[in-house]
Amino acid sequence: MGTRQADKISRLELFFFILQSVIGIGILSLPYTVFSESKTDAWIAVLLAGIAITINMMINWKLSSHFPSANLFDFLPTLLGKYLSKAVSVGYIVYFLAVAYLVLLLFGDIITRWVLPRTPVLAIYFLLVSTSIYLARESLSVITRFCVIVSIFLPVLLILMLVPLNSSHFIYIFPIGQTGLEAIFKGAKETSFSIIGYELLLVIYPFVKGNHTQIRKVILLSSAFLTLFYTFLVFNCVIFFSSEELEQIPEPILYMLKSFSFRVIERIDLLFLSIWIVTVLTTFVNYLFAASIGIKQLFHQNDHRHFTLAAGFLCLLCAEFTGDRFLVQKISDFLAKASFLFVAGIPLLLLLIIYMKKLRWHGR
Amino acid sequence: MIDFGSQRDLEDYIKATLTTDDLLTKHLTIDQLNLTIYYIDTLTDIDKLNQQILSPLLQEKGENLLNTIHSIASKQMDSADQAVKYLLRGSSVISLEEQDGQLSLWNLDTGSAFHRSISEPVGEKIIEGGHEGLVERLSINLHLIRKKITNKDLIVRYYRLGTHTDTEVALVYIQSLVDQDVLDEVTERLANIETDSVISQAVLEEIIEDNPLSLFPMMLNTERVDRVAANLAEGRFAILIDGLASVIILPVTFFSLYQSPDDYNARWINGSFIRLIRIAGFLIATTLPAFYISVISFHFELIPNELITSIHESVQHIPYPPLIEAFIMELTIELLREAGIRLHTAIGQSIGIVGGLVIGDAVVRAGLVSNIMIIVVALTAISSFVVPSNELRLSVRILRFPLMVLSSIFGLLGITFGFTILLIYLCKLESFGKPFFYPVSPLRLRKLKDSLARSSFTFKRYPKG
Repeated sequence: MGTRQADKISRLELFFFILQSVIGIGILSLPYTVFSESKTDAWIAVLLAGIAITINMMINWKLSSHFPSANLFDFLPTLLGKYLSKAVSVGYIVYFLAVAYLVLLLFGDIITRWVLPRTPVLAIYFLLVSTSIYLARESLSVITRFCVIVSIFLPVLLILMLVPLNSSHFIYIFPIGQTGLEAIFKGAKETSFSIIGYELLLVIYPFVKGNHTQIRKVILLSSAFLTLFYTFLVFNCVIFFSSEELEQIPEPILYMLKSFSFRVIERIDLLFLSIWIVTVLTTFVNYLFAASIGIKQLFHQNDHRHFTLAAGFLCLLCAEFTGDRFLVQKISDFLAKASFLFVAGIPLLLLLIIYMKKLRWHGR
Repeated sequence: MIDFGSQRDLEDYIKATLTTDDLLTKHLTIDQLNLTIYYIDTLTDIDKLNQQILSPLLQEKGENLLNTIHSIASKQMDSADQAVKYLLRGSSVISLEEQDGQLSLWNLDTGSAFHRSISEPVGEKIIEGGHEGLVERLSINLHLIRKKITNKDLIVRYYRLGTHTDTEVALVYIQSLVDQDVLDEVTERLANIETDSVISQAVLEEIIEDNPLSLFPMMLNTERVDRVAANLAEGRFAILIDGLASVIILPVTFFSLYQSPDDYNARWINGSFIRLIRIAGFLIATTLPAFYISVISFHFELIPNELITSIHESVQHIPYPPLIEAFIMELTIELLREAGIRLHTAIGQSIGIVGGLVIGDAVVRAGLVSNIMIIVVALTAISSFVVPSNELRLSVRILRFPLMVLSSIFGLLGITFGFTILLIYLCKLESFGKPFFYPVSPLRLRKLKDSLARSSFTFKRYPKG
């Protein structure tokens, strides 16, 4: 894979790339998911999940740092051999596409329920897919530049989330730890399944400027930011809603914002959704890009543009023909488990293989 | 001395090459030396010819004659074709036959220099500061620029472009400030231009720019001397074309198109404020009608309760969907604007009154368009006027139409996606290898204060050189 200087991205861009890959569709439903497991201690569960995510990120970093000029699809053959590596490559490509597909499904679902109830969902899918293809067919540097620009929306989201604090009741979090360790760990497990996106690091690592320690610092920073960001979201929901309420609303953040109005804008949730769309888009784009890079390298091509187009429309078709809500739930649950394999399992395994190979080499 | 054959041969050759009637020749014999003077009547200043050539020549004799020619001629030429070329640029050509039969050719600049006086460009007025504008003569424009920048690093490179027009083009830059890669790129592209004629700058721009299909202007056209000088001082290139009063400046960024010399004449807080207002103007000009359409047709609940009744009242009797309503008014405004430009100033003003007041009022009374829509469209039009670059103004005017269509189909979602596509496009664009949306993308926080705002000169660290 060519790593020309022009394609390189700065560490700032890496930071926002990770942020924009991770933050996306999940933020609306995460508080509900965690709450159904860990109740009022949900925020502790998210903090714990943050540690797990940081460890996962470090595994991905450690693995990539062994190959400073090769990405996942390049170094798989040297670790796994010709055939097995092909299988794993295909596995990753399918996984990336599946995540993109799920993002698309959930996006269509939420937009239909909250903003445009009578617009055919295919039109909404098409809007997201066509815009994403337009960006994902560009080089990584353009994509990361875009990720950096749209990150100015993150503070806006946070500020919007500050509005409900005024009428929150901190008493809701007490007594801390009432649900017990088991429930908290269960919640943490759920959280770490739904906070994914940093595994794209495996694909873009060789393009980042700087040495390994510098990059590690950026990754740690981003994981810290993500942990605090999600903890804040969940905490906010927990102190705003009573337990009975939070158990019944799948998108607590939107309900929370809906109950407020400024003098200028009556429905903040619409404003929130309009901005949230962009963060969903970047998640979708980044996965689409990673998948098409994978396909490109699988077939030894030079250009990923056609594959982006094909992959995007594949997601669109799949989403159109499987848009059943129960099926979505099933796929979502399945992907959560699969993500564990691709985000943590396989990288850890590869890392072990590297160490074993090193040991054997030293033994000789 | 190069052999051109005899005096007769040369004359035959030149007359055969230039068969035009305004080619004149004068034969003189001074002190047994045969002189022939060629010039194109319509390009030549006859007074200059008489004073600078004929009268000194007629006073001299023998040895001195050659010296005189040496001192008054600007160049000795070595081919008859070259002589023809210089004739076409307004020079006179003297062929001198010495006693031994050797011919020599001399070129003297006797071109007439008609040009209009230097005045402030109509399209780019500023409130205070320098009011010099460029004119249609390359040499005068270069003079004006050199007067502004007396720097040994100010380089002028001449090119002759256009096989039919043979237009003189000058590339101007400050050596110590420009990016060497961009310089190589620009000189290479200029040297490789193959075109028939260079009559307008658009010809040149389209040939040398990266994306001829780009929606945004990738170069800045200006007629202001101070703007050219300021851009040169920022390490950009200026391309001047003989016969045109406007200069092409490249490579530009989105934000440099939003700068005006006025920003730098004002105090920095005021300058920053004005610049931020302009950028807000960009957002309003592109999205306001779209936002209005999406609110009216999709998200009525976005408006505060107190406003709903009054908006509802003005909208309820309008027969058309908001998109059509908006298109009617936008089209009217565009027509008025175009009519106002093409007409004489006095008539232009009355068009403004008829259009703005009479049509606006009548259209609302007739119930075709709601009065809120009139406010929206008027605000949009005014916002699009604040762009200092004429070409960007056109892009901004066009940009809002796709956004309007998208918002009428998808509401706020459409605007978000439309704007996202615009942002992606801006991130993609590059002008001579420089990102167009710099310093926002790629983000350089330190440069932001000098592009979005205008920071004080006291904060500025000057680049070397």
